[in-house]
Amino acid sequence: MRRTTAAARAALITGLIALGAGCATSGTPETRQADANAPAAITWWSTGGDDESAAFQKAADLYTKSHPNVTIKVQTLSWDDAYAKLLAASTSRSGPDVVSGGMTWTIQFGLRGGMVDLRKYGVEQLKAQAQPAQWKSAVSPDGTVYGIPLDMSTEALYYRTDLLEKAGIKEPPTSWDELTADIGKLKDAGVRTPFSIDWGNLDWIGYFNFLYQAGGSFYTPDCKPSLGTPEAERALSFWIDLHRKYGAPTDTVTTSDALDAGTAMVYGGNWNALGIDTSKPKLKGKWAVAPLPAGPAGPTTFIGGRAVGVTSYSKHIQQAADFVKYLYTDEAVDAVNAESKARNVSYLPPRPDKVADSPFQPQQSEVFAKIISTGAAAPGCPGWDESAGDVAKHLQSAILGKADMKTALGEAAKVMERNAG
Amino acid sequence: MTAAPLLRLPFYLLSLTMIAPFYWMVITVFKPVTEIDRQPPSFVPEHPTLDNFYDPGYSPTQVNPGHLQGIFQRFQVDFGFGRFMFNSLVITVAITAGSLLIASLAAYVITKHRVPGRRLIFLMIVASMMVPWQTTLVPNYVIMRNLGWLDTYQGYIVPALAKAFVLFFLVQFLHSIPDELVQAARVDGAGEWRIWWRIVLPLLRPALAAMSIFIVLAEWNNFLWPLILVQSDEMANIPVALARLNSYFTGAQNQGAIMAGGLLASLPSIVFFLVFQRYFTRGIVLSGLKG
Amino acid sequence: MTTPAAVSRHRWRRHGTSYLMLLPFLALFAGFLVWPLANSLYLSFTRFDGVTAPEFTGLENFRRLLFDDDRFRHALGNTFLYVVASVGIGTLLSLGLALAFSGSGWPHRVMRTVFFLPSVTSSIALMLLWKWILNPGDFGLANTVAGWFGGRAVEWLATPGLTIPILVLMSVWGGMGYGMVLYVAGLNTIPQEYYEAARIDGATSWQQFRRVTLPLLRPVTTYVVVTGLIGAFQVFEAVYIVFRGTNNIGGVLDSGLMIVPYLYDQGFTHFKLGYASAIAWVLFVIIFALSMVNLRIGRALKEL
Repeated sequence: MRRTTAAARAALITGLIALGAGCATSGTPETRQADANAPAAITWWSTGGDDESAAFQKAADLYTKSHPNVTIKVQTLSWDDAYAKLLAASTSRSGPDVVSGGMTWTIQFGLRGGMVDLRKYGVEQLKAQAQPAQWKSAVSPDGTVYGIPLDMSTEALYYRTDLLEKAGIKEPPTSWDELTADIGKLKDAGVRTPFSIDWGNLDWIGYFNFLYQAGGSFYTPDCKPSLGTPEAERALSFWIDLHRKYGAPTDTVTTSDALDAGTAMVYGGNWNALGIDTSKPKLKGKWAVAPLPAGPAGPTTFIGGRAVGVTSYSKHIQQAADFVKYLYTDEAVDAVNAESKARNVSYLPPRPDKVADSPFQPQQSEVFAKIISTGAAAPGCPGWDESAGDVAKHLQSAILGKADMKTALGEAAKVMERNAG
Repeated sequence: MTAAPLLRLPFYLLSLTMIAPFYWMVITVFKPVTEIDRQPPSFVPEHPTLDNFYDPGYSPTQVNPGHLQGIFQRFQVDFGFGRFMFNSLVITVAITAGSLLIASLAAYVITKHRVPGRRLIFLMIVASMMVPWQTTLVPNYVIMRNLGWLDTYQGYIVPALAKAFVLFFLVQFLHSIPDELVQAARVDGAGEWRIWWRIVLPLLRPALAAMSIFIVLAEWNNFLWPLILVQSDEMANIPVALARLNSYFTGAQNQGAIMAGGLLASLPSIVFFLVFQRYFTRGIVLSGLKG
Repeated sequence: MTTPAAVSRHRWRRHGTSYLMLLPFLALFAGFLVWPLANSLYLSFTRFDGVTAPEFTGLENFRRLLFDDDRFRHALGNTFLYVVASVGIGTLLSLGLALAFSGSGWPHRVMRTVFFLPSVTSSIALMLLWKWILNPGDFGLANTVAGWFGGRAVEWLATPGLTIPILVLMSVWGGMGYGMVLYVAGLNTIPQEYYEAARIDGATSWQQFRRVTLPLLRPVTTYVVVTGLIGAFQVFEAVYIVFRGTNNIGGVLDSGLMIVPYLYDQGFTHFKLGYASAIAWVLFVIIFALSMVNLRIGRALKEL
């Protein structure tokens, strides 16, 4: 797997483990602004890989072409410590003009007075172009927009076409029932490990998909924990069955390794699609992607990604905000898509209508576009970031048979309740 | 007393379990991407290659099946992994030299000068050896942030210079050296700095050698403080770079490059050890049994 | 003859130089150890997120830590289990190795080098190596070996019951050579005459070991055990590299969560710096107590 692809996964994770608590100190007066037409040198700290920064730089250079007085430099921050570095910049109120990182980061920094409310700069007109669920998760609970989605990541079913054929399965499973039936058929055909989960294995992201597909959710619309529902139980019992009854491994095996080792179907992040033919040349032509099988309530799948925003300590807020808006134009999205394609970097643009041009194979892009159209994003409720790790642990204890399902869900809900403040 | 040969046998067998992991590491380094995840694995690389260090077949803009970046291509900083080796070298040398110099100065004063307060100072420093350094992790992070020293060489070096155990060891050593040597120089009219440089440091040489081995190894492999301190790729030391590899790249196909990084991290310290082995064990024993 | 004034001036100048020579060490010692230590104690009584000023909360952090934090209790339990097992097994093997390879011939020297090798290898490299060995795929070395003996592939890193045993194994594997070197040095200080005398009295090898070797090695054992305990309480890399999961530093079900990893998690992932300071002070108390035991035992031994 390429560096950037792993980073896409980290995008989520790091975003979600970032701190939740903190006293809101919004409304900090913004730094005195230079004239909107004055020359501006804008710095963008982009969390991720160098290849991704290079792709964003292409869009930045195009912007400079039409705005000769504005130059933009994209600098890479590594996932492991981007959060701390951005936090340090907020504290000292000096640093980049534009920042991008985990979906919830801009909200966190915004609550501390480190980000600009982009609504003042007309950013809401972009909402129509974005994936609605993802846009909502970038908006803070009080409606302030400190950041907007910069890219997406999502999860798909990777499958070995040859093994499915061997088991007499014509099409990849489209529903939970078909999934379990196909696992049975594959087992009968001698496939030792028919199914495994890569992204979200034993983690809340894994549960997220089943939960939403069963018609449940982590929180009610007014942010009360809602894990006590029959849907939540149904989702968890299906997940547990996949591990215990249908032999999904509990240890996480990377999608490419799993397919290579003869696992017939793997739930994996979209970024995996780019690396398989490179790292496992023998698999070429023997694998494909499909949307996750739908549950009783539909095929809803998790969408992650990064958010981008403008810092309140920037000296060029006006220009920086204009540039952030520019990132949603056809010109910018096309440029980033093209450069990502050239560099074989996993990138799904924040505009679903442009996913078809993403660096993936056309049929893969089509699948991803389809998944995204019904996707849901991480809960934006207060205290979720802090709870995610503990919720995952309670789910694990149910899967590993250390606690019964009801207790595990109850404990998880308790954690969420406590952290809600 | 020594054990009977028969009793020794299990320990000889145990030594195989010591060698095996290292052997596994080395063969992984020289296997091409497509051989690393073969089942059953090959125990001698069938197509030995240096691709895991640098793969000429890899291109950032064109997919070439079976060719991934070697360790020197994985980080987009100048000189790739070499940059981290350079960082580690600079940091290790600076800390070793700096901490030995300032500790020898202090040890000289504490043992050979009759200044008021020296006992109290020494007692405090000895007491500090019982403090787990992790206790200072949070405040030192805040200090570094306030000084703007996050992600800098001085952030690595300066907080690591005052090493209590080094001072303690040098004081013990200097106690065993007769005061007359210093007195004689003083009678000859030598200044204190000169005495320290010309007489004390040379006398301390064996102790400094023993300590430098400890410091070099500890700093070369230091992880937790750099993990908190470093932000950019440019400023990572080898252990932090390796940990980042581990979080950036998953999957068997990347293990060749990761193991190559591990080898590059380990070889210098292993060679260092083999060369200075004698001082080494003596240093351990001195610091251990007298300390 | 010099005047008294000149003497005092001379003494001042002398002391001035002395203090100047002490200054670099003392300043750095004070700035990056004493002051942070005091600061850390203060922070442990506050709520501090690194941005807004610390908010004094009294003993709240410690109350939560000791009475209301399952994860911390879990971390403490794991740490104690790990410490006892790794130090116990490690010390026994160190002693065994020293007895087996204390000679000066080349086979013994080679063996000593082999066992000492992990002590000088980059610990992160070793942890990455273990992670690779324990890969859940069939091509992982551990699973290949398991396969030779007819075992099925094991999910080493996702089976909570295996976490502590694996951590202990890695620690013993990496640390027994260090203890061995100390024991070898200890063995070499025992005069051969003692054994000869024992033999003349008709003592068997076992009796010689029990009556001569072990008692004379007691100071070494104390040192090996106490430094081992102190080091084991501070374990971090093994957990961070090998077991850290996506959302969770301690691995599946926190089965590998220990004190320092938890400190790192709270302090530098969640930025609860006050709470992390409280964890640091719990560690401080444990290590300090161990060191005092070490001192007391050491003094008692000297008086014997």
